[in-house]
Amino acid sequence: MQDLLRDPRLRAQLEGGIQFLVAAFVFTVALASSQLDYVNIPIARPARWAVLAELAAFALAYALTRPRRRTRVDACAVCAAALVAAAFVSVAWSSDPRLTAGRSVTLLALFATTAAIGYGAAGSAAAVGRVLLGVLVGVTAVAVAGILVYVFNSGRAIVPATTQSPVRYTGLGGNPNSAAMLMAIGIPLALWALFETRSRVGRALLVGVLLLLDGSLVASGSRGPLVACFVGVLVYMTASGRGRRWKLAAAAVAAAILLVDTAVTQLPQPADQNPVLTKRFRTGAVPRGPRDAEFLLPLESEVGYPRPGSTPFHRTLLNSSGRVPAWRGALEQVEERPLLGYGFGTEERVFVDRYYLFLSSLVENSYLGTLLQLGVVGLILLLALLALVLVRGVHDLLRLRGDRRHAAAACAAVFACGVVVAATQSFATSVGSTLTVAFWLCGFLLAGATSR
Amino acid sequence: MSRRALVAALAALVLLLALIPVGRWERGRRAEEQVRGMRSVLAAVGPLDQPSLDAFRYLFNFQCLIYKRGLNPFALELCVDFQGRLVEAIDRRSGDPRIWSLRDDPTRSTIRLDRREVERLLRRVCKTC
Repeated sequence: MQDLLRDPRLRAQLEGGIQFLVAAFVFTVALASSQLDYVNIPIARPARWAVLAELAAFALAYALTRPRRRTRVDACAVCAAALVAAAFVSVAWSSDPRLTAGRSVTLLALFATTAAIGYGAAGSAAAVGRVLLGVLVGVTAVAVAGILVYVFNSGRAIVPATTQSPVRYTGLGGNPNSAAMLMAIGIPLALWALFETRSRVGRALLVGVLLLLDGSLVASGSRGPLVACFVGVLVYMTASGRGRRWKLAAAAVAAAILLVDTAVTQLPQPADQNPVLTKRFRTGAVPRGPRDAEFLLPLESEVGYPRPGSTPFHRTLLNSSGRVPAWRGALEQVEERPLLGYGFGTEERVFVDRYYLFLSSLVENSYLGTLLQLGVVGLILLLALLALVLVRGVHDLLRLRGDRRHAAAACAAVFACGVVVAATQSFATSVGSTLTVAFWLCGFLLAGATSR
Repeated sequence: MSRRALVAALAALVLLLALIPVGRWERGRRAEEQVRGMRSVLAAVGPLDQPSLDAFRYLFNFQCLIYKRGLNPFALELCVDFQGRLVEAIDRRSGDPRIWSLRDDPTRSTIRLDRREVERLLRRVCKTC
């Protein structure tokens, strides 16, 4: 048995399987959140759990094949375990214990799977690179599928312009932000792959991938992922171990591209009239009578609801799309149960969207979302885990050279990008979110890639 | 497992278990605060059946009765679930809404209204409800 586990062919096969399953999971989760109603809920939602289960099995087997070395339980593992334990214990005070228990199991599966892959790939640039390539393939598949959806059914791939907001590209995502998060982490990964590739065809292909991902990101008009992508690219450029002059030039190019991208997002303008709803949606929105308050002062839009004669809102580069009042409201809810929160996984149930400009059942901030679910204790654990992975990972990768350093820098870039996205999206502990597995996978790969 | 690791694991377990009463206390304290606020709105409304009942909401999980005060047609709002529990109450008399809610934790609401009475009043303001 020991001989079988140490067989390099088995490791190679498992790495190939993990690479495929990572790509498949990224794609399936994106599909599950898409607007393609004939596949999203009936097929992709159950399929993503099947893929995750397979990935978990491969990951655990892969961890067993790692050449035996003395391992010690480090602070990252302790923080991750404490976060999972706090999630499970919160069943005791959750307003929906069954939901909390279920979500806690998914968090455990997420951390166990990604940590096992990180542990198994530790110290091997080639192994880390294969998994990263799996993430990149998954992200690229989502971008290509988005284009296909746009070509064959454009209404499902865009959010049409309204009097408040210009047209926004959703691609395969359920909303403009969900696929954009993936594009944001795909760009530093594509850069890493571009610099690692030796063949001309490969480089040409990766330049195409970069343009596709950047184009999809810009068309989404999603500002948080755009800034996060810039941070990820900067981290990759500065951490990948090239000369100072090269780093400065790369940073300047990245900043110029960010400026151009940002300018392009401002080109589409709001419409003069709101789009006409299809018959199917109109039938669901008929007042039950002249005194139906939902059509006069809707509960989900009460805060900031425009009074007659007030200036209409227009989405611009620097306004918050309603996030600030929603975050303020979430903080007021946090104050009611500050220490331990409402129970893990209950963000969607507890947070009530009462804000006119805000359109989400989640807080759209992973840190506030964690505060709501697990209180100050949970937030401290999450921040400690993020800080340990990132700060220690970046510190440790500086002593690496060559391919190991480049792969570790790519992991750090994706993780840093995710940390920034988390400030504008709720995803960090939700396995069903498009970015979550890639984010934690790169975090644990970074810990593994920089291990001695 | 070394003795040190065992002690650390036991300490972590004790710490985790110690969180349970704290979490439950927070849940109970919050529910009491919300119930107190909802009671104040209920008292401001007075009897449910009154001429100032002016509007309604018919939502998936709960339904609301809305009472006018002065020129404000949405001044006071009481939301009741199908079990008759008051799960949300809103006071808009000062302009900005003051909201008390146990929508996320309805089992903690100790205020029960007569559901049949609520349905009768809903039908009065909503012919299709």
